[in-house]
Amino acid sequence: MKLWKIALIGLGSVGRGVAQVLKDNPQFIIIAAADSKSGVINPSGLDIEVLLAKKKTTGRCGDPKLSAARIAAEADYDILIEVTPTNSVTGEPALSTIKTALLRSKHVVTSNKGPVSLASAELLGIAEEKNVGFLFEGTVAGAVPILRGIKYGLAGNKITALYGVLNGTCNYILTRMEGEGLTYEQALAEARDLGYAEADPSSDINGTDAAIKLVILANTMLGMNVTLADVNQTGISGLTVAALHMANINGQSIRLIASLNPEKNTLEVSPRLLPKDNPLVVSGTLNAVTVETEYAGAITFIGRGAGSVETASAILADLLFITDKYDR
Amino acid sequence: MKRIRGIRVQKNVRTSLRLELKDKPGQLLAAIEPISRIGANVITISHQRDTKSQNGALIVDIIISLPEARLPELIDALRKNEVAVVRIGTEYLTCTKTFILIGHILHTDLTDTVNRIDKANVAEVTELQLIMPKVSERSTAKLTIKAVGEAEMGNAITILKEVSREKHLLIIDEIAGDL
Ligand SMILES: NC(=O)c1ccc[n+]([C@@H]2O[C@H](COP(=O)([O-])OP(=O)(O)OC[C@H]3O[C@@H](n4cnc5c(N)ncnc54)[C@H](OP(=O)(O)O)[C@@H]3O)[C@@H](O)[C@H]2O)c1
Repeated sequence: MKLWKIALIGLGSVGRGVAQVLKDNPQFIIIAAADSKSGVINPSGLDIEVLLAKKKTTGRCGDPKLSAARIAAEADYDILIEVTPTNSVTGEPALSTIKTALLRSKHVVTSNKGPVSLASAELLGIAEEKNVGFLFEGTVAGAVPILRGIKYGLAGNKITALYGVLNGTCNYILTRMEGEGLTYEQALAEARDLGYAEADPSSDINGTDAAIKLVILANTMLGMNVTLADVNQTGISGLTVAALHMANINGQSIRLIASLNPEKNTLEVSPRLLPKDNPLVVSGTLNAVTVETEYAGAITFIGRGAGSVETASAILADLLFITDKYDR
Repeated sequence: MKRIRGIRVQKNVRTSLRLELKDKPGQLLAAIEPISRIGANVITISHQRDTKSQNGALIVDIIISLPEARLPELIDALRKNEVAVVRIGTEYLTCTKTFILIGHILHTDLTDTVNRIDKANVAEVTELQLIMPKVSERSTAKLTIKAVGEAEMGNAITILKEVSREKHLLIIDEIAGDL
């Protein structure tokens, strides 16, 4: 069995999940890792327990002189896993890290939405030219295999429309407003306390996070060529408890829905009314995507849209896709 | 909708119309002519010489039967003949959608919002419910619109969205399609 050498860039929630998932997998060794302040390389494989313990106690995984950029450019890995924070404006520094790896004919797997939403065509182009994989299942709906589901599961079907609950934080807030009659502010505070919302939750709440995922779906799965600016975007901060109450009386729920129609070339993220029994009306932090197809009718994918090992699950699937398809 | 040998045949539906005619000779004909030209059957006409609208026009209530899809065409033809269609029987408005509006709905003249939708005549607001916590706070309204068909509903939604944008109302609409 071939041993695949991994460079892991980012050791936050997702990065640690990846390390955990790979720890017991004999097919992979992590030969390099980096966080925002340091990096470490060991060609014969890092001890993951030691790595995570050091990161936990010191806040650093390695040598401050060894940066992620240097690892991407110099280390002898087969696959680079990029799991640093999303920068939706420039995609950097992840975009450069990914480019460096692809240009060196290395496979890349990422859950970072920035580079994929901004430059998927370019990055996929380089990957194709170099005959390597560039995979990003974790960027949309976390553990839910929506990209592979569309590309392979529904291969050959024309997609006429897509609707998704793509932001777990918003879905949690709406679920609590609906179920417990909490105000928007109360539900948001609760989401913060439970760690579902970031200290600055604005990109979740105003629909940007869902819009970025919609752009990734549009460009990489539906043959569209759009940017974040093309998404007609309304968030949930203006919603009232009365609105959820009125919807409820009517047998409906309100969810933040990201939708696109490839024929009309329209992309929208906004709170919408749905019948309560619509499969998209999921609870808590779950994500859901319904794809309307030519032959298969409507198909809905539901599952965990975030989380450490949940997102690592999507990354593992990407890794196994690479080991299956390529022999180097 | 029935299918006869591959041709889609629309079944006729009954529709009640209230028309306003100018009080001058030949006006009843101006109303009847487009109706028969379009192939609608007149079921009843009630035309009382002594009931007049506020602006002095004659009121004629008429029930016809015609293919549903041709109703907008008939209404256009009537308007060209200077016959105003002031009401369409709601029981024949087959397409229903619910909306929720949030914002300073009363301050921004709710009647105007409703009128702008009703003005098109092929769609109307049939139900309106308002929750207003305090005068200074934003209120929430549920609005049901009925329309003659999908296309007319589409127009009503466009108007509603325009009004919402102008008046800074947050509009929540139903997801399209029958997922
Ligand atoms: N969390 C989820 O459930 C989830 C789900 C789907 C997708 N994603 C995406 O996955 C990515 C990672 O998410 P996360 O939750 O793991 O983020 P996170 O907890 O904030 O961790 C980010 C990691 O990246 C490191 N980092 C920051 N800048 C860096 C740089 N310039 N060079 C090298 N490393 C750098 C950080 O270093 P320090 O440790 O030194 O701060 C940290 O270890 C994000 O793009 C996110 O949008 C996350």
